[in-house]
Amino acid sequence: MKYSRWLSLWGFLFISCNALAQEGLSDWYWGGFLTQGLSLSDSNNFAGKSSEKVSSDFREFAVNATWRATSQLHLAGQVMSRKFGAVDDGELQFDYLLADFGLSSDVSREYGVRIGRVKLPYGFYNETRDVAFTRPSIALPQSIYFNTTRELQLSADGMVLYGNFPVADMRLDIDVLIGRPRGSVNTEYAYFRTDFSGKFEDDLGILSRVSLVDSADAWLVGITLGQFDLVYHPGVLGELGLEEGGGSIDVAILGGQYNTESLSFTAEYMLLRVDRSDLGGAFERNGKSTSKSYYLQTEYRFAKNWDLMLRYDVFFLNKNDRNGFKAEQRSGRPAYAQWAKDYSLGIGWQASSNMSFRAEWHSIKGTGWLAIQDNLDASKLEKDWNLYLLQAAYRF
Amino acid sequence: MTRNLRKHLAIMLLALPQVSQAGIVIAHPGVAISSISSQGLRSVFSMRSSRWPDQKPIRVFVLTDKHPLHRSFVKSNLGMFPYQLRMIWDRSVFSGAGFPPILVSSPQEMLLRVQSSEGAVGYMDDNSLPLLKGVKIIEVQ
Repeated sequence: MKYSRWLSLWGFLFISCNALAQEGLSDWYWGGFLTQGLSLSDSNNFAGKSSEKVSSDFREFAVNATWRATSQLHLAGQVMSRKFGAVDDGELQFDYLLADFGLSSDVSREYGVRIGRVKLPYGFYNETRDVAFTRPSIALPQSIYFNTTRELQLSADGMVLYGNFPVADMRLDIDVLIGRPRGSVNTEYAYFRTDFSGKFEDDLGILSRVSLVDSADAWLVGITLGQFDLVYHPGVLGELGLEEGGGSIDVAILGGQYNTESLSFTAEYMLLRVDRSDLGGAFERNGKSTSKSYYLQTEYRFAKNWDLMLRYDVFFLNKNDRNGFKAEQRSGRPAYAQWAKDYSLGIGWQASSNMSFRAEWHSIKGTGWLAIQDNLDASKLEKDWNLYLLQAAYRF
Repeated sequence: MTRNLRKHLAIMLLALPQVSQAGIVIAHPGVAISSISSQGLRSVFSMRSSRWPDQKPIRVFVLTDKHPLHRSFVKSNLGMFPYQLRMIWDRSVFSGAGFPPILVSSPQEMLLRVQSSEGAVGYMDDNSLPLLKGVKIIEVQ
């Protein structure tokens, strides 16, 4: 049922655009990719049962098509399957399915609107976070690009107004999204750190990203601001005495990047506030909290087709309880489940224009961003752990 | 810079003439402009702009990322690096925001395709200027 609505919209657009398409002016494009990852850790699970054996529960596959019906309109869609431990089950989903109307008439500025299921303009990497060859590493900085709550960050049904405008010798890139994000059971993990009998329903959200970019893309600074509202319906078990109510997530990300021929430096800083106080019950008193995340990253293209990546990534689940002691006293959960510090080193090899390989080592303290879905037994969590990842990616 | 270093640099540049050479922007004869700003040129080859001022679609032709002419064009004419363009294209295509450029395998094919495709834009190297028939040469300002 959920696909039929999208398919009929797509079919309607296809037929109406076909009528509009001028002879010789329309173009088709299609492509896709297949990525297989392997993960192994000395304790704690990432992308499957990685602490017990080498986990191959890390696979990404997508096919996309774009049809340029006229010079001002294109339709684009991507179907994706992602298997990632117990977080993603590999079910085929529409990653995006949209109509893009370009409204500008000048080659140095472009603006328009995208309508349908659109990707969220969120930080540097979010729109193509599942596309291996657009990532600087196998695992993106987990403090900002969480795996636990990815549905909320993936795409939304709504519209994006976009534009690129020259400003002196620079460029201003603007994206504003209004839409309904794709929430799921994983949303409950974000809010409650477990799966309750109740359900979340997405409400409208707004997300805007503004970046000032050097005209040759040598450097950029960007800010993302957003707010998403959700409604919670308690289930039969009435866990924590929660009542029906609204919740909200506010996010702010500040980022910068500098690129030379052989080096790229990237940093992002994020504050994310979750407000659950309206749900009452156990959240009556401690319903609001703000997490703090940042990372510093260097990429070094040291030889033709080879690169190194070095990153320090930090996450505090509650910025007012950085060491997690208050949470430990209150909930009994270990303090190190409230934060994480991840040093990672990676190497990449672009074997051909279609094939690439990466390997990565993460030395991590804390379990703050670990997906609970893959680590249901909290007593087995270790504070100090190492994660080893391998990835092969093929594009077509 | 010391004189010695300068001399070495000059020798290196002479030994690699294609690295320092700027390319020529060519377009289909029907394209309604004869000059473009350098910002506009970056916008076209980054696939951010999709229409000429007369609203006809822009069709961008490029050589492979590793082709010496592509590398020198991206560096000298756009002031960018091939890896940046690749990243911009991939992020746009795999989020549904845009279109990839059309890949050609040789400068000869580039010339043929730009001659025959409406709205086409591409590039050739300086030395081929006398051979450029049936395309429009776009001046970069």
